[in-house]
Amino acid sequence: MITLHNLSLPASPALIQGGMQSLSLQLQRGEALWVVGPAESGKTALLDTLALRRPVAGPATILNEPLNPRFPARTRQRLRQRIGYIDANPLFMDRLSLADNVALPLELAHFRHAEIQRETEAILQWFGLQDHAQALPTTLSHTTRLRAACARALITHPSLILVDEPALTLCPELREHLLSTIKDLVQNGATALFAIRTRPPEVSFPEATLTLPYNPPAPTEGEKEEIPPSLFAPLTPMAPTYEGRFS
Amino acid sequence: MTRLARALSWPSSWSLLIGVCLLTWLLGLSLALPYGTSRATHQWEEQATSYVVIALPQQNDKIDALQHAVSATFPGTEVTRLSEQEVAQTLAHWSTPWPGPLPTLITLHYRGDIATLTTLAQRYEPDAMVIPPPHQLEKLAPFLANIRQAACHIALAMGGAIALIAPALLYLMARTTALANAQQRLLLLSLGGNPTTLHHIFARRLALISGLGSLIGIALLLPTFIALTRALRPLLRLPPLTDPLHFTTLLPPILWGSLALLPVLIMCLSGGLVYLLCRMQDRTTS
Repeated sequence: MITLHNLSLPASPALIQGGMQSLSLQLQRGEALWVVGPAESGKTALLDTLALRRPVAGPATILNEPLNPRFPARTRQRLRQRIGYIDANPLFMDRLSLADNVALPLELAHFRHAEIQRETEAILQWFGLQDHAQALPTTLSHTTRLRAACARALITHPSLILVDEPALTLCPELREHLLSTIKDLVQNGATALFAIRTRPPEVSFPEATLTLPYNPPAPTEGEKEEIPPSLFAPLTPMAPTYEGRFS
Repeated sequence: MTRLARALSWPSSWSLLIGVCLLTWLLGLSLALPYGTSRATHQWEEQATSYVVIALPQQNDKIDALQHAVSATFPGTEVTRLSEQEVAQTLAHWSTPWPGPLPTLITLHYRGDIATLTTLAQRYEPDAMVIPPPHQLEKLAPFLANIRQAACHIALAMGGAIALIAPALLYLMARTTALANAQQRLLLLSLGGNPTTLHHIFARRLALISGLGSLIGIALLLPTFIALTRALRPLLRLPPLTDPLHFTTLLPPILWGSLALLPVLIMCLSGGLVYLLCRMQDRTTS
């Protein structure tokens, strides 16, 4: 589903010589991964690359779509609609209400009006945002905006979920809620990456961790020039715990 | 894409509306100027050669009868009795201050035999005097030709200026709108939206504003034409108008058709131009 081979990722020169690291990674459907590392270790750069916000140098496949320099804009748009990215500073349409902001990905995917309304109400309730549904994003606290960003990223049940640090560290309740929701989606076949400085000890999901700056294991004779094998086996799918389109 | 259309901000709507309104108004004037000038000077030439004055020595009850008789005998000659103020003004143009009481003056546009008119006037008032139009056309002709040429040059200059200013204004508005919505565009791209959707919304909205501004400009042209025609009447030595829409006869139907189509034309052109500009800007930035 995701294959990165010798991807150049920027990092602080204090952490890695030359300020660039080469990363190879392979993730299948139903797999999730912590990406841990200190500040400026390339965590957000990795998420940005997977979210197609940065140019990809080197052979790569995202959501089974090989990326190349002649990557058509239409394919890029289609892939982005399948990626839910909760970044550090989520942007909103300031003139739209929170509910309309959350509903935007569904509208861009040409869902029907009734379906958009039902899904939006369900996910706003799931993230405890129903009281702020008609509020403008600029009037809300940062935590509420992060909640809304989570709701917007997950409303389409994306195939690839990327979560940057603030959503995981700002509010423990939000983290628990977000991880439990994503866990359900991962069990249904989504792939998730969580970027954080240090993995919270009390959290069990996900189990696997990728540490940045990346120090690849020394290859044995037979493994030279090969892409690392999948890190995880797919998990058993489970039903999501909130009422939504796929319930 | 109703949500997306609501999400966008429009920082330059009023500037565009007023700008297009003014440009349309100027364009309408520049289009009408050569026709209007040509018709007005033509009328001036005609009037100047047929402007006859009947002077009566004093006020008496026969004046009304004479006025009616002239109107009845020579229909369409626009017989007008001048007020005392107009008489004083006319006489002041003619000579030194008038000695004694002011005479009564009746004006008409008459191209027939002066002797016939004199006989008719003197039948009602023996002292009536008929003053034929002066032979001024020879002096007037080159002057009027210059006026026509100047009107054409002014219209051309105004049209050229508008052709330069209008695209610049639209470019400025499209750029301002795109800059004001840079965050929305970024978010749209990150959510997998098509930036062309934004271009369509920009183009549609700015085209509508341009069309509306143009309509207002055309609407403003009508009172301007009325005011100009009224202001020119005394210069053309014509009686005041009773029909305010008289100016419509000065301009040809093809010009009225062009003016009626102008808002639609401006709307289509501005929509297309804004769409192209947005596409070009997007291609440059990406």
